Amino acid sequence: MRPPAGRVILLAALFSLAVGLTQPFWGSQANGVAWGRLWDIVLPGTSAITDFVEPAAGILTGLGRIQELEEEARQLRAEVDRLRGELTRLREVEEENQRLRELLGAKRRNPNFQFALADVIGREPAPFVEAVIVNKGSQDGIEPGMVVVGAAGLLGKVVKVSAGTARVLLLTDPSSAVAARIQRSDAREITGLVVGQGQGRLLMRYIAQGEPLQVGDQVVTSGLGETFPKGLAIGRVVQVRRLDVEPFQEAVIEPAVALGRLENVLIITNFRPPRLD
Amino acid sequence: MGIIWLFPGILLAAWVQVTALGGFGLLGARPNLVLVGILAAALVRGPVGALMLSTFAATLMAAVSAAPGPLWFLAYLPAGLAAAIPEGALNRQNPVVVVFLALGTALLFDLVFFVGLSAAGWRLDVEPPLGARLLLDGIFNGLLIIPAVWLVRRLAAPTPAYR
Repeated sequence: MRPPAGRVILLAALFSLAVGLTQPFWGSQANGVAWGRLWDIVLPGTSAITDFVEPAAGILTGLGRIQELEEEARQLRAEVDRLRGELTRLREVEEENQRLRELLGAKRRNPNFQFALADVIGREPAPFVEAVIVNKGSQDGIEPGMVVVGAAGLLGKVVKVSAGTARVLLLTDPSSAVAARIQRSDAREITGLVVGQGQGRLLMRYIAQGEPLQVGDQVVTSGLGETFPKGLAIGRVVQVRRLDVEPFQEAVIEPAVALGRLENVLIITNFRPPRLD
Repeated sequence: MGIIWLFPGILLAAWVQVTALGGFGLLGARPNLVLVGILAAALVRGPVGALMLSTFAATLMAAVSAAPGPLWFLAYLPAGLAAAIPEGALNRQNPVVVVFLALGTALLFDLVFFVGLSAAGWRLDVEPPLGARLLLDGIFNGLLIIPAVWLVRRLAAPTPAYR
């Protein structure tokens, strides 16, 4: 015979109430410890199930988000490319900043001169000619004969000008020649003529045999002939060629300015060599 | 395609010559893209088109160069005229002949400048010795001429008269 349903429900409700009302007292009882033990056994198992289920769930979730993730990866790659470009640009700006600081130094060392800053935009295409093309021309007040310097010293002079560009014949061109002297702390005046040798090399000629020339001596313009201002750095002596049978000695000069990596130059606009015609 | 495409081609070659190739040099020698272009045009299109091209190139280069302008016109002339040599005397289909033509025109180009600059009062005691430098210039152009002829054929081969 089946008990009536209403009575069973009432008994179950009373049991639940009784359990509920006595629960606060379980913690201090051995009974409560037993329940705790039960969880100790069950929980690691739960964790093992969770460890297995969670990655699987992650994969399933990931599969659902694959398009979203692809889009995110594409955006991140684009961002990396953009940042790389930005980094390259910033490096370039830093280098330019350094070059301009050096040129500013040259400007400060020569306060009597007025300068026009120009960028090197090309190299001479003709064989045997060492020249560069700069982005300042007659419309900027540049004229043939004007002297061009770099951060560390003399570079050459303007030989040809168009409206927006000028050709600067470098000091190392075989047809260049500059009256020079050795810069010494003593009063001794050692002079000569620095001529271009091509390939970025310079040679100082016509130095009297008896002059005590040394490797490392600094060479500057002497101002003789008034083609170049006095005192501009040309380079330093790296080798002395002395032959007793020759009336003069020679010195190989390392240019003060690295001519192979020219990017910016200064054109002295208020020094003009005398016209010979 | 017509010869007209070779003019922007020469302009591009001149630009590369002055900018990118400007800093390049092996013992002072470097490839001469414009000269190679003119010679390739001469071999593919004949002397008239090549001479038009050489005049155009010389005008461009004279404007940008510190060297006396007329030298450019003289220096490009031999390359422009290379195709005027009768076919019987010089087999221009032979790649070896083409390479030697490139070498020869490069030597003439340098010699025109050497003689011309010396005559104009430029002091030219060049290092390395002139012969070595001329040879290097010639080798550069000899290496470039075959791809250049191929390119000019693709760009501006004459249309056959018959169909």
